[in-house]
Amino acid sequence: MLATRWLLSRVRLDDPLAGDLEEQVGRGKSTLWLLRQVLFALLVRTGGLFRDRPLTVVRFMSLGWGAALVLQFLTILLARSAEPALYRWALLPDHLSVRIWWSAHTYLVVSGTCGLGFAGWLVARTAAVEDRAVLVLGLFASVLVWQLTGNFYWTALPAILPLHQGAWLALDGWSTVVILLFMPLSVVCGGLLVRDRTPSIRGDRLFGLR
Amino acid sequence: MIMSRETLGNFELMVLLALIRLSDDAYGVPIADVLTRTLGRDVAAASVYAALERLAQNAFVTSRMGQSTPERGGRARRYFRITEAGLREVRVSQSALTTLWSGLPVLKGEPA
Repeated sequence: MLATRWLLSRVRLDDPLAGDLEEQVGRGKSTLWLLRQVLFALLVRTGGLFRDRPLTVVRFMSLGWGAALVLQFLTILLARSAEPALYRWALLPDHLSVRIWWSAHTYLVVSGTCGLGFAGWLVARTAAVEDRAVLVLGLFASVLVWQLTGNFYWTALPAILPLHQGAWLALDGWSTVVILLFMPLSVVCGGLLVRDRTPSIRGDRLFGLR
Repeated sequence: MIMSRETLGNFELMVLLALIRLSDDAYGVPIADVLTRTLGRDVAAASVYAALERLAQNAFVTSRMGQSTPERGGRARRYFRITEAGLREVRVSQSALTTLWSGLPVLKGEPA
């Protein structure tokens, strides 16, 4: 029940609807049932937001992606200064060592995750309370679509290359699958970090977003 | 003169019929329960409230807030009631659908 209350307080559905869901969970409905109901409620609200205020959606998606790219760029700049040390550590006689793969990908994963987590936090921090969950979910979905389309090449590649080359590419593909799930979720995690209080940064005043 | 008129959607009609059945006890949970039993599949609470919102905008239903309870995390129930306009709309839909349904062989199990 505590998890139910936490989820419903974070998502901020209308009170009568949230009360109904909590009542049903108290009568024995499962957590999976609740998650389906909450997701559907967010989808219904998303449809309403797109219909009534489409520019709000566009502005907040632009804010999220802009923040993510800026932070990722800054993180990459910092990571590049550490790159020589990373490659000295990674350089082994076997040039197909997994260490090379880790050093090459770690800072991209870290920078991407930090950037997207920050984007989720910023969108949640500046959006109106009732729109917060929908906009973070929209950003999450857009990142997932980007990951699926952009990384499809790398996940499909091991299936078509000969095995001895495909072996380490499969490892690359596996890391891409992890990134596929992990990085979009960082958007949601960033959004969940926003505490339920009146925001001091009001995006609608700062950026004319509302 | 041809006059355009919004008609009740299928789901909205079902929600209104559920309201009529439940009378004063109609809030989200029993409405969804009636629809779930009738349709034989889970009905999303959000879709019920979305339909009720549309019906309220057309003045086919009214609502009032009930008491908050601990089992609902301190949130109040919202009770709905069908209006006279809503009843008229249901009768119109009933008449139209009954007329369209009647005498169709395929609905009696016969070939079209």
